[in-house]
Amino acid sequence: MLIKTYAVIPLLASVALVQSSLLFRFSLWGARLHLMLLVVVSWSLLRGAREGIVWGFLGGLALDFLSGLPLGVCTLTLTITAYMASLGQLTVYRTSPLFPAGLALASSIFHDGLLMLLLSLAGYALAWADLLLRVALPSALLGALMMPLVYRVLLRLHLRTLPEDLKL
Amino acid sequence: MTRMQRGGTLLFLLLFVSLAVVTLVLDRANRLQPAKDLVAQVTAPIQGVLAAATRRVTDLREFFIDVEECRAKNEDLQLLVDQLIIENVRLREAEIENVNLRAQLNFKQANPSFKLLSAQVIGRDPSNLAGYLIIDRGREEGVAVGMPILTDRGLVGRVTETAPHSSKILLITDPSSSVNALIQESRATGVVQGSVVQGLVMRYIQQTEEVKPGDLVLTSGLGGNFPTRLIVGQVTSVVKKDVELFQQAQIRPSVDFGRLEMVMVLTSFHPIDSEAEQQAP
Repeated sequence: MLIKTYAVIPLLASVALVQSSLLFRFSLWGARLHLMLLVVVSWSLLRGAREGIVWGFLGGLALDFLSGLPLGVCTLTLTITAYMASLGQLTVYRTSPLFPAGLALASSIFHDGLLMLLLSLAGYALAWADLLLRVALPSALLGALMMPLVYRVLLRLHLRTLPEDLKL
Repeated sequence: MTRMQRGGTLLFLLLFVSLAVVTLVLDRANRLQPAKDLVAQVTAPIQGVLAAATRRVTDLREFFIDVEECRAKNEDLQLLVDQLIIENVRLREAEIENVNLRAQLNFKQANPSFKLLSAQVIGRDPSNLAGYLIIDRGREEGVAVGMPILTDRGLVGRVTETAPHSSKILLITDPSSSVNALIQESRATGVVQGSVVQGLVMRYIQQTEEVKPGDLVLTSGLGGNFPTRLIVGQVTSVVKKDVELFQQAQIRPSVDFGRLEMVMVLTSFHPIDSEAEQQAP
């Protein structure tokens, strides 16, 4: 059974609310946890491109409504990041326990880079080097550290919602 | 994955990317405001509850450490200690709120011409790259786009978006923010801009002006976006090069942006819309 969209919306909306209202209080040397990104990347890795894209789109939209940035920027960024992360399914390293963390690191840097590019195109003045070194990189490292935990939770959800004929 | 499947997935991606771009375009054309209002109305109360819960979690963490020490000393008093500490947490919350409100009241009394509206911070921008926060007051409470946001310590930012009961605030530390300012002592003017690393930087200060560490920086009111004489911060260092037209100064913000819980909206101030005024006959 696929997770229906109507069940995904409240889940991703809750993740967005937690990220906006709770996680901002917990900062580690400038790094803040991008929980939505980890959730979307995990799901893309577990379920592949199509479900990843839908989760990326809905998750990004939820973030957009809570963000001061132009509506659609987070949606676009997270949708593309989800697709890129789903390509991880095609590699031979995907069975490695460290792979999700590595993928989270790469996806986070890709996501922030793409977001900055879109913001620059929208006319925002950004200090690229500072943002990449002081915000994006520490956040990516923190994301990589937390990824095993998030991935484990999503793996459970994945196994519980897997179609009966695909279960081992 | 077969070639056909891959093509199908790419088409799927293209569909969602197109949807995202359409959303972006509609938002730029300001067509999505009703949807944003609706979402803000639903999420603002939840964010308020979550924000309050986090504060309690932070205090409860300290509370549990205290309980651990007490347990080792006296098991019998465990229940009593629990109750007392919970009470203490509640009282500390009340005390912090009291201090905040008293500071706001003092600020209001010191600035009788200001019409201020207290607001609670209920969220931050979920992306790590932008300096926005969300407050629990909106259009219905009289908040409008452009209104300055303050604390008793100084300027916080300005309202960029309003929903019926919540608003988004662009912090002065965001790189896209700029505030016309002056140095209190020398009256040198410049523009204070947000910076990822240094917090705030004051640019475009004439080379002939004297600026030194410790000088207070206030809003100048030029441009009509902010009222005059609001504290922005304090000069920490000055960069002056003979080969450059202007000097610049690093500013330490007077407000601790990491600990903002309560702010004030200056509802009596309406920024001048220079574009509209230029277009008027």
